[in-house]
Amino acid sequence: MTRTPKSDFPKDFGPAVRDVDENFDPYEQSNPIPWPLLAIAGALVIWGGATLYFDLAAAPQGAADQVTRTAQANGTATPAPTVEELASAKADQFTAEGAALFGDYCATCHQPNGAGVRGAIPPLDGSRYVTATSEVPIAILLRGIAGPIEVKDVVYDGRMPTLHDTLSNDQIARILTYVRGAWSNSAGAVTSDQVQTVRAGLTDTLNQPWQGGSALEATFDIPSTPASPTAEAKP
Amino acid sequence: MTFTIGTLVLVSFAVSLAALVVLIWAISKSQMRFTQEDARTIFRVEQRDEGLDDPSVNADDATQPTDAGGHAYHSPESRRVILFMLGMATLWLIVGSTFGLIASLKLHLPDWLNGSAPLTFGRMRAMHLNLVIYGWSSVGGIGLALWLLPTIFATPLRFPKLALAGGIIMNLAVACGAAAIGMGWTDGLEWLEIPWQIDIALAIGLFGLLIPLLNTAYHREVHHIYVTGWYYLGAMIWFPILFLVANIPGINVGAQQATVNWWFAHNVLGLWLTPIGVGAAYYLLPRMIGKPIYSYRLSLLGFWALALFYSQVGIHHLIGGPVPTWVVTLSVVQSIMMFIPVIAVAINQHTLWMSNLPAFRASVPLRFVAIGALMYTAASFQGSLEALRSVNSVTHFTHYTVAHAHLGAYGFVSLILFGGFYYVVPRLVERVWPMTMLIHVHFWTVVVGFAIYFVSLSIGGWLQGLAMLDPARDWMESMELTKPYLIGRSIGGSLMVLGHVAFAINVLAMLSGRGAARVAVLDPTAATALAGGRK
Amino acid sequence: MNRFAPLLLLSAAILAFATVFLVILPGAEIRTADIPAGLQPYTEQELRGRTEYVSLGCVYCHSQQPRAPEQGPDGARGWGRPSTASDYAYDRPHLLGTMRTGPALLNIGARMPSQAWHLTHLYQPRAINPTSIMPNYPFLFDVKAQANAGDVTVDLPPEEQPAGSVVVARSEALDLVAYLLSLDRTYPVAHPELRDNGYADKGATQ
Repeated sequence: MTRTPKSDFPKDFGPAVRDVDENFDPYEQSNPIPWPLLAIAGALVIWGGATLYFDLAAAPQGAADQVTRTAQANGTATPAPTVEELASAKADQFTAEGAALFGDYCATCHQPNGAGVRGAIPPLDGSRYVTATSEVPIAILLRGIAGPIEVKDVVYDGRMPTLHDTLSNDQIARILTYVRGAWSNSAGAVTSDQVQTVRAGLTDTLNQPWQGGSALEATFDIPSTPASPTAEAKP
Repeated sequence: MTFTIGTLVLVSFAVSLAALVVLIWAISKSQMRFTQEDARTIFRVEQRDEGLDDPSVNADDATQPTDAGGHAYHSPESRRVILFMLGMATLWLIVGSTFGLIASLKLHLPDWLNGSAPLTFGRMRAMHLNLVIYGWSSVGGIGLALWLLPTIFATPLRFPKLALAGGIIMNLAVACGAAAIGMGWTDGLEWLEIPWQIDIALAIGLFGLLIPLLNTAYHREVHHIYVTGWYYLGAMIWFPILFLVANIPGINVGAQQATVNWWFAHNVLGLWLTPIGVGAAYYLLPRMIGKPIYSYRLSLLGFWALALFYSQVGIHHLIGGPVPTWVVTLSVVQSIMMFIPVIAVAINQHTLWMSNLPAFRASVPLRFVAIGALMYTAASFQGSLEALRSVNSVTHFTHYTVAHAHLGAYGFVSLILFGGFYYVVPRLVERVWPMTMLIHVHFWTVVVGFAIYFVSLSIGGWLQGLAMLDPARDWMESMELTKPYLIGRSIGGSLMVLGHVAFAINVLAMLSGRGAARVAVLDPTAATALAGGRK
Repeated sequence: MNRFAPLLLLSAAILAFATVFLVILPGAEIRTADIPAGLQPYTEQELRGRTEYVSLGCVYCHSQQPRAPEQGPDGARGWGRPSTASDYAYDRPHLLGTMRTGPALLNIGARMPSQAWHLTHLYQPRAINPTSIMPNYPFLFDVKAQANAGDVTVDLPPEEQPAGSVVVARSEALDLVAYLLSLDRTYPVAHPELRDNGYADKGATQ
């Protein structure tokens, strides 16, 4: 095809007459932008200005709030404030630390309110294993559980980690003191010495999780509860 | 500091508004030297009658665009590179959407196909994204541009050999990039996963394609630049800048890198894929229907307001995150301002096709493009609303955002690309599509499939967001409740992939020489052009 | 709109204008802030684990940006205090994430400090949470007849334990867990202005 050099003259095809008369405009309305669109644009501009103003005005307050919150957490912003708030209300330092440890090690599965996870993780609130003699929960924390366990008429078949390596006697004592007194539980406190005693008695078996609730019942002679009607997990 | 920055933000907003006011004034007062008659440029350049134009099934319409002297605008060389790009795009669509489907299935079959690292969800998802964005949409979009720009500018493509070389390099880079991600070699930023070393090759390929296109535009034989040209020229200047700046290694870190990340990622949508889609629709809708767009001067508002506002919305991906309040708020406000260009485009495009519904019913390619244009409006409205702080608190971090992303990248861009492929390929090879039935299968599977996909994931995502915000509900609930919706997404996604297979079969058949040619032509040119160009 | 160069130049100028506001100005503000005293650089092992985290695409399901209590209950879920830009001073690439298909992980090291838990969870998340949809990562572990000296074995419930053999963590798994355990931004907040405080007017502080 022929190639003409580019010039300032229009090279449109067909009968275009536009550039003959700039103001000859047969197709165009006098105002090509519909007024509703202009109205919407105006409204958006007002909204945008207001949003910018209010958001920026609020920002310093937000920054200050963060500092306040950190200060309330005593310089150590614990990532589980609900549990800690509960415990600090009791003004018991030992329990409060137990609550913090509970938040770190236990609440992910057993939940901050001790209710467990339906069908998967047994509750600690109202569990007869938690409120039995202190040896039982100590032994559970040390060795973990791998086998079916019935808590509040529901059988759970999950796995609890073995924690004797992870947690010290003192940490276990603090956690259990908190758990045994939290929510509706009212069993007694646990001391570091009690944990040491149980730990010493289990030296050879520390790495073997308890094979479920029956093993615990047999070992610690927990009073058996009325058998549940079915072995199935209830919703 | 706060005062200074607050002032700066107001400056940014004020400058954008001032530009908008000047633009509206200029349009209203006819300061811009063009008129509704310019909207007919696309008809005049081709010496092609106005009226319904469907070369996908009508062999009489399957003709090359030619000038007044009957010379085709697309040389065999240029046809070869276009078909190469469109064919490769189809390949990436099949591979990329298959990976997407696998990733979708993995979300409700978490133990499936986990034997080795390349098969894990995190890699499948990244390969899916990069293949459909840089492979399917970008390669396909450039392929369309290689056809559209010479056609609307009435001049052959310059440097077609350079374009072909660029196309080959770009496709190799896409393949290498996806393979690298699969092997675990990644830059680690969403939308920027392809390692920067491979990005160099991708950029070289990109320049190999853009230089011929820009040169073609510079040497155009038409005085007026049609609206499609604005969008494509804008995209061709924006994308290389974005891609190069965002991929410079080693200079960004932490939260600051996140601003670069989302400045890039959102602009790839707003200033690359969106112009590709909107620009194509501005050509394809009037071309297929055979009538000019509703108000040509209004399209100016759509283009420049898009450039002004869309370029500043990226940080709405970091609402509630660790970046200064002012930049987040700026992006929130500019996201809402996006209503202006979107409404302008909507008035122009929807008025045209909705007042020509018989054409809509008659032509499947037109249906793809019209629905795609409608999805642009929908995705943009939804995106603006999602940027509102109150809405964002619910939708951020959920599958709702994923549904929205697909509304834009699939419902809008991909549907328009489908329509574009169905229109352009027959005119390049001068034959209609061999299997009309498969076009209908493609249309219905992707439309129904995507509807299932979008509705299911949007509802699931919204419920997920509400559950996540409720302190009384365990977090696990927010994940568990999405499972049925994730299954719904996989069902919709399967239909979409099925549609893509139907599409690919047709493309393959077309490229291998099948399909009826125009009776009057009766020459072997078309077949030879396919096989690699006229001798 | 008939001229080529002005169209390109104006388009590029608009993008440059946006870049100043979206990238350069916030970047200047963030990069000039000092690094919090409580934030330690990653160790070599943690960095190797971080690379593993990046390459496996963990970021596509796990965010690392706790929100403020005015916006959501992230703190109550144990995900940590709202993070600020200076908490990420050593993060390259950044891993803020956009999805919470899984929980936020910026403080996972403080919330779940047990290596054994993470190894079990990586080997088979459903051994711990039966409804989890996280992928299992068997390729990060070796199954052996018996553990050698120095091997870290993975605790598994009986139904997940391969018969007659033990599951041992490969170095990739140990690195990854080391990185996860290093994620602990529970030190006091620094530069509280370097985050989105746009929700501050929405409710009382807690």
